Amino acid sequence: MTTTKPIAETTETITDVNAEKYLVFQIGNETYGVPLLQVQEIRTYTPATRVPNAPNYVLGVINLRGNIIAVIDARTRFGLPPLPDEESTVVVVAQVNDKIFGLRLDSVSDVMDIPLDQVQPTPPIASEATQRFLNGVVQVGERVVILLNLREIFDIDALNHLAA
Amino acid sequence: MDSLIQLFYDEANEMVEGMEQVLLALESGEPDPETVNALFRYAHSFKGNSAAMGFTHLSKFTHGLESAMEALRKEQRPLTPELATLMLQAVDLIRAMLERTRTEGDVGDPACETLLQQITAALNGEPVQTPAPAEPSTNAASRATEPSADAPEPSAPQYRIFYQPAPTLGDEHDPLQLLTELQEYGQVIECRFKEQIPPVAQLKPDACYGSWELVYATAFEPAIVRALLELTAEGAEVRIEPVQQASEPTPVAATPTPAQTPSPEPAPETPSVAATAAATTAAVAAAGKADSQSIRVSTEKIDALMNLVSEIVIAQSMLTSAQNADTDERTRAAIMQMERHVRDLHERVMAIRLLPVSYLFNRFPRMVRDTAAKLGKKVNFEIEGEETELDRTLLESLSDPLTHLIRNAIDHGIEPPDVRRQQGKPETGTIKLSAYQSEGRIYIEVRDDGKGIDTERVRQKAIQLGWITENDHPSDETLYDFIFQPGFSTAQQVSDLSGRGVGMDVVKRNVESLGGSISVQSKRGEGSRFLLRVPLTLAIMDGLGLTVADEHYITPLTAVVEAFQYESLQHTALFDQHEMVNVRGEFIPLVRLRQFVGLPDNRQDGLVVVLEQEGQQIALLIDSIAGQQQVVLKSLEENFTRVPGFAGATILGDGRVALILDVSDLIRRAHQASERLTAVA
Repeated sequence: MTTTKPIAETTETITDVNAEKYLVFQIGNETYGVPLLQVQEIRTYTPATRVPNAPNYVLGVINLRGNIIAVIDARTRFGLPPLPDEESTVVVVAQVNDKIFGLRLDSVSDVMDIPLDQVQPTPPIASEATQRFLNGVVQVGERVVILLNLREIFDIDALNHLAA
Repeated sequence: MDSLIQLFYDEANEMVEGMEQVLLALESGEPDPETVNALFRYAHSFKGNSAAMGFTHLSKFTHGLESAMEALRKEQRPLTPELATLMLQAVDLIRAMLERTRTEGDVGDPACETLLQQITAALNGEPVQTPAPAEPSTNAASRATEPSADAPEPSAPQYRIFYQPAPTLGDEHDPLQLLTELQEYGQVIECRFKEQIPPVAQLKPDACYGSWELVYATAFEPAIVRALLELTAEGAEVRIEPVQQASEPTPVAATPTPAQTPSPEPAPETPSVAATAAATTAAVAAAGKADSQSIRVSTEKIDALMNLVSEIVIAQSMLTSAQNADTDERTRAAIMQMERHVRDLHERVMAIRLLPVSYLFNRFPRMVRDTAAKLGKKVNFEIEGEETELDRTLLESLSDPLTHLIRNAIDHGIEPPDVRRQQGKPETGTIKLSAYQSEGRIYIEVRDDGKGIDTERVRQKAIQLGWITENDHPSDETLYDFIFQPGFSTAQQVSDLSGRGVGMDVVKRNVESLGGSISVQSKRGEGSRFLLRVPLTLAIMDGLGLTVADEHYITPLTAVVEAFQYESLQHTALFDQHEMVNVRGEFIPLVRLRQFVGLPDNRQDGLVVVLEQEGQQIALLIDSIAGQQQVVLKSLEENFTRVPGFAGATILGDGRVALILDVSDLIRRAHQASERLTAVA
C-alpha cells in the first residue's frame, strides 16, 4: 500500500476510488486500522496452545478449521501490558504473504473508508522498534487512525530465524 | 489451461507406464493379439495427445513407434528380446522427453531417430548393432523417420469420409490443419469440397460454410480415424464409410456401400452410421476397460475436504459433550445418529486418499528385468496383493526403500544361474513382492530364494567394526539388526547397483520416518524375507498423550519402549547437570519435559517414559500419561514456522491444539549434550 499518490490524480472524483475499507479497533486510547482486504475473518478468542521458546508476543497456536495458525498478541507486540480475556476479546485472522495468522485484540469497532491519498507518514514519535509496524496516520472526521503493517507485525522471517 | 497441461502429463505418465507394462507382459508370455492391441492403443493416444499439446517431436517419435508396432500387430512378428529392449528404451526416451517438455517446451532428441532405425532394423530381423544406414534405403526405415511420406500399404482399406466442421469455428478448429494431419495417417485419394455459402449479408466471420468428402486409404481402424477427426473438431459431423475393394474385404464391409455419387445433403440415418458408431463404442470400451468409472481430483481438494471433516469430527465431539441431564430425548437421538454419520464420513474421506500399491509395485518389474540382465542373473519376479491400498504420500515415500531392498535381493540374494544349478536350485531365482493389510497396518514383504544372510560374515564385520569382540556370539536376530546400523555393509566390493553410499540404515531410517518398522528373517541357502510394517496413512498416527503442568503433548507411540515411576529408578547426574537414569542396567540420558518446554521444574517424582529411535534411547520425565489416541498430523510450518523439538501439531477432541514431540530431535540433543560433556571430561 502506498501512502503517496501522484498529484495529478488527487482530484475529487478519484478520492473516492482511492478510499479503501479498513478494519479499525482500539488498542489503549488509540484507533488502529488494517486493510479489510487482508482480513480473512474475525473470531472470538479461544485460548491458544503455548509454543515453547517462542517470543513472548506469540501467544501460541490455534486450530483454524484444521489448519494450525499462530496467534500474536497486539498489545504485547507493541510493548504494552497484555489485558486479560474478556467477552469482547477477538482474533483477527489475516493473511500476509502465503501465511495465515491471528492477531489478538481487545475488541474490534468498525469498518471505515480510509482516503489513501490523505495518509501522512508516521511522525517519528514512536520508538524505532515499533515504527516499522506503522504505515502512516490519517485523519478521518474526528478520529485519527493509525494504519498498521501486518507483514511487519507477524514478521515470519524473524520467527524462522529464531527457530533455526 | 494449466489444468489441461496437468491432465496431459497425468495421462501421458499413465500411458508410458501402460506401454512399459504391456511390453513386459508381452516379453514374458505368449504374444496375445489383445495385448499387442493395447500397446498400439497406448502409443496411438499418446501420439494424439502430444500432437494436441503441440509437442511435435514427441508425437513424431511416437508415430514412428506406432508404425513399428503396427508391423508387430498386423504381421504378427515375434517380440524378440532385442526388440523388447529397444522398445523399452523408447519408452524411457519418451519419459525423458516428457520431463524436458515441462521446462523446455517442444524439444527433440537426437536419440529418437537412431532408436527408430534400430527398431525397424530389429523388426526386419537385422542385427541390432547395425548403425543407421545413411540412406534410408529400406521401406521400413523411411517409414519410421518420415511419417508424412508414409504411404499406406497397397492393400490398405479405403474409406469414404464425410466431414462437416462445427457451424462455428473457434481458434482451435482449423479444418485445413486437420486434413493435413489426415495425410500423416494415410493417404487422401480424393477430396471434394462442397460449399454452401450464403449471401454476403448473412456471412458470419467465424462460420464454416462447406463440407468435405474424402476417399481415404489408411491401415488404421475407422474408429481411430474418427477419434482423430473428433479430437480437433468438436461439434463436427463425421461419417466414415468403408469403400468396397475387390481385393480385400474389410471387416466392416458387411455394411452396404452407398451410391458412389457423393450426396450433397448429409444423410444422418444411413446404416453405415450405426455401424461406425458401434465400432467406436467398442474401441472406446476396450481402451477404457480398466478405469471407466473414475475422475481425477487434485490432492489439495481432498486435503481440504479432509480438514473440513476433521473439523466436523471435533464439532461433533463438542456437541456430544455439551449434552447434560436436561437434554431431551430427541436431541440425544439426533446427536447419536449424527455421530454415526460423521464417523462414516470421516472413514470414507480418508479412503479417497488411498491408492492401490500397484501404482508403486508396477515400477519394479522393469527394474528387476534390467538389474538382473546387467548382473547376468535370472529372476522371476512375482507380485502379490497389489490391490492393497495405502496413502498416496506414503506410497511415494516407500519407493526408495523398496527399490533398495529389491536391488539388494537381486544383487546379494539371488545367486548366478550356474551357482544355483550346482546347489540343486532352479536356475531362475524368485523374488516375491507382496502387500497385505492386518490390524490397521500395511505389511509389505520382499522375499527371495537366494543365498540368505551369511551371519558369520556379519559377525566378522561387526568384530572388525569394533561393535562386538571375538568371543561374542550374538543371536541371529542381533546380527540381522547390525545390517541396519549406519556404517555397515557386507558387500565385498561396492557394486554399481547397490551400495552407492546408501545402506540398509537409510532404508530403516526412511521406513521409521514414516512411522513404520522393518525386520528381516533369513536362512542360509534358502533366502531372506524383509518385512516392512507401515501405518495406513501418514496423516494419522498412534500417539501417546503426555501431560506436564496443564499442558498436553503427544509422542508417537512407535517410539515408546516402556514407562517407569521416577522414584523406582536409580539416577545420577554428570557434573550435577546431565541427569542419567538406570534403565535395566543401562544409563540413559534423562530429559525433563517441563524443562524442555520452558516450565519451572524440580520434580523428584512423576513418570519416566523411555523413547527410542534409530537405536538410541532417552528417558523423558513427565507428570502423567493422558492415554493413547489416534492423532491427525498437522504442519506447524505451513502457516507459522518450524518449532525446534516438535515434529508438528494435532487437534485434540476438544478442538485445542497439542504439539507432537520430535523424538529423534530430542534424542539427538540429549546425546550431543552428554557427548560434549564426556569429551571435556
